[in-house]
This record gives sequence, structure tokens and C-alpha cells, in this order.
Amino acid sequence: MIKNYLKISAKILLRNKSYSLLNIMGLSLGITCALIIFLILDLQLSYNRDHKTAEQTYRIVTDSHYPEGDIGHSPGVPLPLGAALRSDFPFLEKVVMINGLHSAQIAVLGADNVPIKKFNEKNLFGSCIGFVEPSLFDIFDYSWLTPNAAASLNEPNTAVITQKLARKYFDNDNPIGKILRVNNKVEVKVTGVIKDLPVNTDLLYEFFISFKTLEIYQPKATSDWGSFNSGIQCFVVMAKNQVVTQLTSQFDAFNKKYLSESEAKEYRFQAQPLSDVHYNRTYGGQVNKSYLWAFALVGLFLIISACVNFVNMATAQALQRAKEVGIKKVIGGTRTQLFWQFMSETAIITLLSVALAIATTELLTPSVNSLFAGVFTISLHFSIPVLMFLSVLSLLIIFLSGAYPALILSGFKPITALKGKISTRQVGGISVRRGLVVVQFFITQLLIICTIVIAQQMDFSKNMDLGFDKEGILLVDIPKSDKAKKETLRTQLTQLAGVEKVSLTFSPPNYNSNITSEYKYSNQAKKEGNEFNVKVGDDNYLSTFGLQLVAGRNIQKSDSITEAVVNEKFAQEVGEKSPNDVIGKTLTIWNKSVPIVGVVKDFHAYSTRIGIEPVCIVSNYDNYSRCAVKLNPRNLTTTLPILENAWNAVYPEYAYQSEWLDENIARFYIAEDIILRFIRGFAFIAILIGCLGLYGLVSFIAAQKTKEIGIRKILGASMQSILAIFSKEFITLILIAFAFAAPLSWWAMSQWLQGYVYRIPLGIGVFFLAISMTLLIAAITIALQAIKAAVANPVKSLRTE
Amino acid sequence: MIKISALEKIYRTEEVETMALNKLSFEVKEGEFVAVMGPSGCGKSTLLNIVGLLDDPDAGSFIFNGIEVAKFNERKRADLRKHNIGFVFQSFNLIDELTVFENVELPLIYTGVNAADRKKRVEEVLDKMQIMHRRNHFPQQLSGGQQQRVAVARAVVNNPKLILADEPTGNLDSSNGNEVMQLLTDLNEQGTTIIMVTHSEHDARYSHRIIRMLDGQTVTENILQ
Repeated sequence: MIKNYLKISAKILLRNKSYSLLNIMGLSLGITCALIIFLILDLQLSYNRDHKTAEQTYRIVTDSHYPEGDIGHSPGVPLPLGAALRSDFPFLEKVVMINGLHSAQIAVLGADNVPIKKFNEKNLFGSCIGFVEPSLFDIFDYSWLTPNAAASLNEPNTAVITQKLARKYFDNDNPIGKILRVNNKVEVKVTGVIKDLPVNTDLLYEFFISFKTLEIYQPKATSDWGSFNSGIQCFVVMAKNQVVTQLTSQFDAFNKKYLSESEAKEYRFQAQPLSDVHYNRTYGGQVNKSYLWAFALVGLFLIISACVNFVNMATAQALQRAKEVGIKKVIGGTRTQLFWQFMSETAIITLLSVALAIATTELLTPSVNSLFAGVFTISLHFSIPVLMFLSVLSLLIIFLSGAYPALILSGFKPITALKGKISTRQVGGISVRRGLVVVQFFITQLLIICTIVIAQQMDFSKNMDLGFDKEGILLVDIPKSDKAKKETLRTQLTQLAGVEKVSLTFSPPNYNSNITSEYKYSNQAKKEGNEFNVKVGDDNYLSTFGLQLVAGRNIQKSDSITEAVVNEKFAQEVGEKSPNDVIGKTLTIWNKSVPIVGVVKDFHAYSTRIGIEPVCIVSNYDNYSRCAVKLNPRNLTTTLPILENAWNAVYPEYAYQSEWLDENIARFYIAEDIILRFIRGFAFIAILIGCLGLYGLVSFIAAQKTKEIGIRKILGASMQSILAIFSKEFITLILIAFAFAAPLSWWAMSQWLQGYVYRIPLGIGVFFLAISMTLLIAAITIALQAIKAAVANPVKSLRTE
Repeated sequence: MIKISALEKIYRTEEVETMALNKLSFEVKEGEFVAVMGPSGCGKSTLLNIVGLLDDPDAGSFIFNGIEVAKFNERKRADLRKHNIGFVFQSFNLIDELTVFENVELPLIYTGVNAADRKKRVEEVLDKMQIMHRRNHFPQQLSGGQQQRVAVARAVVNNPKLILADEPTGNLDSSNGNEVMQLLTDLNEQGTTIIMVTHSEHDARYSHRIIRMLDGQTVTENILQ
């Protein structure tokens, strides 16, 4: 029986090619989006889960409680924490310390320890090189290519690397026993190789150096409780029968034991479940789960919209299929048999759409991945969750979109159906289809409004005046080597043609690495936890970044902190009425008291999501780790290689690494950028699906109104008045949809904009733009069919009755 | 085979009530060929629909093969219909998307006949109707006469006891019409009961008995030889 249903259904679909095609296109668009969203969610929700003890693993993180009530959050902890946890809490099954490096110079040594290759290892999204304790490999499951190599990390000067790095450093040679030099400070022997990292991990380390090497690399660091750095992380594994509060409840006493009184008051350790690491942006997580659910909701919306299309077109077709239903019933078909016959048609259309969607997804995956800007990549695979998803989705679509039309069609009375006397009321009435169109346009307008708001906010954030120049500034990494070399580099670069300004610095005015410090101002009592952002730069810092002085003067050239420039916000923070009032006052920072000599206009030191923060600018050679070079935009192609050569001449033993400041700043908005690209795509697809549905509905109405239009024309109606019949109908539907979409999207977008200190006003313009766009697109869609109906010969129209 | 007594059918719209059948009574014996005649709107088609179990009466009794079926629900009517009754319409009512073979096969699918038997029976009946050579054609590729032969083939493929024909020659020229009438006569001679609604005195003469209707009632009955 099923075979027959399918055979007959296939024939009927083949005979109605345009109807089938329109349906398959609409559905497959919806399914493609849903599948891509599912692949993203499947990947995102699998982060950090593929480890045996993942459920029992926690990362120890630090909350800083500031006196004014603010709380700062950091995934970093002091280095001695691991050893202390191990000794004080023996019930912990495993503890591991990792000291990650943001970037590192790696030299492959040949005979006589001479570097034969140099690399600058850097991962934009986290540390890629770390000093690790061997227990790391007991907690996290890595696939070893060289068995039993983890134990080798008990020894100093040993390292384990990934297959990818092994190939990069040694081509096809056996990496084991080879020597690598790290940051020109320590040498390590490769003792093990692991398989390349999976995509779904936040631990991006590819180069694991034994923790004992850290004592050589940075003596005494492992006993320094005062240094909190987001690269230093600690993971612990609780026993299966233990609850984490057994550990966290003892942190107060633990802090008092190891930290100074003021530190113990400020810093509080927390245990963050490993399953939370990827999603908690407070501690540097990559993605907010609410964004993932929003994506899922969009996917659901698109599927609903595609199903609505299907129902609309199927019921619109019902009148044309009345005769067929009548005949089948007369010759013995029961309602159940006919119901399943129609359901099998829906099943065929759905399965074809799924097949098409799979092919489309495969084709689109590279483009979709390019939208993620390298943050992560998805791939179409047929794992059990994906197959389950596709099966459930197919069944859901078959029943959601098939059941209603099948019930209507199979319920026709045979006599009425045979005589073609089925009325629109019997096929669910035009009101049902109107309702469905409203639902579709509600979804479409919701997405359009969100897209416009997000795009405008992104545009606003990116083009906001940050208070300094970010264009044409190249940041060149410099090793923290001796002062003379840094000075030589500065002098040599300054002399190059095409170079306008050069400044040695720790970080530009707005950057992802920041130093924050407590301070004491003038005679005011030192407020504990009162911090500001310290920008370490030379006397060229202000001019290179175009920072404007509003009072006093610039700092003078100096090797160490001798004077300071602050920003206007600082002056306000310390309670001075005018920037001039802070000039000449003493600022105590890093145990040094120096005069404030100038005040610069406020600038954004962080993402514009955050407001202006107090900042001070001081010189200190030891901190300089990059060189900011302001370049003339002309002849960049010739300037850049010359600059690189000059750098290599000063640092022959290191690898050159640079980045553009504006690109670095743009990365602050990477999550929003990805969301914007996606929502823009989804809005477009929602519009497309909506238009397909609208087209189907207009065709239906045009067929319904053939007689009415004929009579009106005979009575003298103009083409415009006929077109008005259609326009009025759809304008009403779109306006009703807008009445629901506008307040909901206003609410959702207001909530989202709360996350930005500097945000666009949510004015009426956005909504006006959205409704105008929708009306315009709808008008174009219906015009074709409506004009055809309006210009038809009335004699022919009437003959069809 | 069929015994109808005091049958009533009223069509209602919001403002008008139309009495389509008014206490109509008549009987058809097994193996009979009965023609029903009368002017448009006299209730012929309504009668045929009720006899064909496509519609239910508002009052009266309808006994089919000894069973009272007037109060049957749709499912029961459909079940009785597909095993006992075949239909032939003026406008053929073939499904355009299906071939000749598939159109004739459809009633067998609905009665759950297996594929091998279906093939055998469809081929037999197509052969009998001399339309076998057109088995893979679609209805629109056939002449009116051929289409009606396919419709007759579909009506008889389940070996029904009763065939109801609603103006079977109405859309055919006289030669094709005569062919179809001959087919029905042959079927009747082989034992199938036939009730035919017609406007054509010529066609009516193929039957054994003519029932004439007016305003939802039988007015006369002529027995023919």
C-alpha cells in the first residue's frame, strides 16, 4: 500500500512540476538554515565535553571585589595555587597548573645549536604554548602518537607538541629528541607528539613544556602569589562522590593562609565547572549560550515559515484537486486512505527537500565557515545527533505541513468534490491562510528589525571616535630584550621612508592586553582596589596615537617612570574640578611617586561596550613589548618589507610578527560581527521563503477572483482599481504582522542594546525602514500575478465559470 | 437487490429549501437494467447518489442486498460501496495524472488486492474493453469514447454487483455512445445489475425498465422487452 501511495504521489508531483518545485525550494531553504544552525549548536554545545572526567572538572577562577562594590572576573590565578591546593585539599583527585604564553618565538635548532628555522607562535583566541604539569594529560584526554610520553614532562627541558607543529618544525623527520628554543630563553627536547586538537576545545595549547622548565624560564615565578594573569590557569578534578562546595567553602580560610590581608580581602577564588568555560563570557568564554538559543529560535522560525508556505500552497491547490478526491472516494477510497496518500506526497516533497538541503549545506559550508572569521569551523557530518535531527525534523515537517491539508482534502464530500462545488470555506477558508501569512511576515519583520538594529549598532561601535588614531598603525612585536636594542630599533625605524612616527609601548590606547594597577593620588589616602589602566609608552606615545593634551605637557624621554600623563576621567575620579588641577600633583604607582605633567582628552581603552576608564601613561623600558609604527598609507607595499628587514637586522634570532591596530580593535566585535552576518543571511532567507509563500497565495487568490475581476472589468473597472483589490489585502496582512513584530523586536533589541554603554537610540526610523522594506518586497512579489489577473480578457475569465 | 421506500432528500441553503426526493419508492431486482429519466432538477442524480451510497437520505428506508443502509455512516458506506458498486459518469472522471492502467488499478488498490492479482485483473478488463493497447496512455491522450471505455473498465474491475451510470453517453457522439451502451448491455447480460440515468430515449431503450421522475417522485414505469 505504502509503495502505491508513494508511486501515485510521485506521479502527481511530477505532473505539477512548478508547484512541487516551489514547495521543495521553500522547504529546502528552511531546512538548510536549520541544518546549519544545528551543526553550529552541535559543535558549540560539545565544547570541552570529550574528556572522561569532564563532569568532575573545574577551573579555579578569580573574582576581584573592589571597594566601590564592582567585581572584576578573571580566569587567571597565581602560579603557586596548584601546589597549595594539592597540599591543603588532598581529597582533590587531580590538580593541574598551566602557565600559558600569549605568543612565543620558537627556533628549531640544528647542529651546534644554531637556529635553522624561526617561528612566531601566536593564537588570536588564546594561549597556544604553555608550561604544564603532567597531570594535564590525566585530566584532559589527548590522543597520543607516542605512547607513555606524558611522564617525560616530569623532567625539565622537555616538551610535547601536536602533529601539526611537528610537521611545521621538522617536516617529515621524526621530531622525538629534536631541540627547540623558546623565546631565546630555554631549550626543550621534544619527547612526545599528540594528534591535532579537536575543534571543540577551549584549550588551544599545541606546545606543552614541562612545568619544571618554568623554574628555569622564569625563576621564582612559581612562588609568586601576587601575580594574577589570565594565562595562568588551574584545573581540578573532584572525586565522583564529592560536591564542589566541599572545596569552595574552604576558600576563605585558604585565601587568608596564602594571600596578604588586602589581597585576601580583594581576591576570591571560585570553581567554575569545565562545562561552563566555553559559555561564560565573564571569564573569557567564547560564546554566550543565550546567543546559541537565539540561533535555535531563528532556525525554528525559519522552519515554521517554510511549513506555513507549504500549508498555504497545499490548501490553495486543494480546489484544483477536488475532482481527484471525489473520483477516488467514489471508486472506494476511504478518508484514511486518502489522508495517507496526501501525507505521502508531503513526505516525498519533504525528503527531496532534505536531500537538497544536505547538498546545499555541503556546498555552503566553506562560505558559512568564512563568516566565523576563524573562531571555529563546522563541517557536515552524519553523526548520530545529526541523523536524529534530520529524522525528527523530517517527521515534524511532514506532520506540521502535511496533516492540515491532508485532513482538509481527504474530508471533501465526494459529490460536492466531483461537481467542483468545493468552497473556499471548505478548504480552511481564506482566513486560515491570512493567519498563516501574518505569522510569516511577523517572523520576517522581526528578523528585519533585529538585523537593522544590530547592523546600525555595529556600525556605530566600529566607527565611533575612540579618541585616538587607529588607522595606519602597525604593531610590531619586540622581544623583551635589552634596552639598547629597543632604542636601536626605534631609531632605525624612524629613519625609514614611509614611517611617520614610532613609539615603543606595552600596548596601544585600546588593546586586548592591559595592565591595571592600584594608585595613590596626591595626599589622598590610598583607596584599596582603586585601579586604573596603565599605558606604558615612550615620549612618542601621544603623537603616534594622536592623543590630545588638554592640560600640561607630554612626558619626557625616560627609561623608567619619572612622570605621568593621565586622562580627564582620572581627574574626575580623584575629585578634581578641572584637568589643570591635577598638574603637578603626585601620583604613586608601582611604589614610585611621580608628578602628573599632563592630561589627555578621554579615549576608549576598552571595547565601547564599556565606558571611559581612568588611565595613566608612563614610560618604562622593561615593559615595552611592541613597537607602534605610524605609516604613510602611500607606498605601503614597499615600506612593509623594508620595515621587516630593519627589524630582522636588529633581532636576527627572532621571528618577525606584526598586526594592524584597527584589525585588532575590530576583533573586539567579532562575536557581534558573526551574529550580524548570520542574522542578515537568515533575514534574507526568511524574506525569500515569505515571498515564495506570498506568490503561492496570490496565485490562489487570483484564481479565486477570476470571475469577480471579469465582472468588475465588464462593468468598467480600471487596472489600478483591480490591483488595489490585491494590494489592500496584503497591506492589511503585513500591517497586522508588523503590529505584533514591532513591539516584540523593540523589547528584544532594547535588552540587547543594554549591553552597550554607547548605543544607538531605538528610534521610529528603524521600524519605518523595516515596514517599508517589507511592503516593497511584497509589492514586487504580488505585482506579477496581480497584473496578470488584472489584464486578463474578461470574456475568458467569465468562461472559466 | 434494492428496495427504496418513502425516501426524502431536502437541500437547504440559508433561505431556500429544495425537496429533491419526495417520498420516493421503487425496487430494483438483481440482474435488472433500469433507466431513470426525467427533466433537469427532477431528482435523478440525487437518487443515483443515494443509491450509490455517496449521499445519505433525510428520511425513508433504503435496503441494499437485504441490509438497511439509510443510516450508515461515511466509513460504512464507503466500505459497502467499494465492494459492490461501480460508477460510470458523463464526464468520465478519470484522474489526469494517472495512466489508463493506473486509473483502472486504483479501486483494486483501495480494496487491498495484491500487485500480481491487480495486474492480472486490470489486463483482463482492459482487454475486454478493447483498450489494452492504450494502457500506458494518459486520459487526455484518448478520444471521448476511449475514455468512457476506461471509465467502464474501472467501474467493473472489482466485479461489482451494481453499476450506476450517470448519462454515460452524454459527452459522446452517437457511434461511441452506442459502443458504450453495448458494453453496458453485455455486462448486464453477464449478471451485473445496472441503473442508468439518461436524457436519451435511444439509450433508455437498451434497459429492461424505464422509471420516469418529476419533482422528486416517480411518475410512471415502462417495462420494455
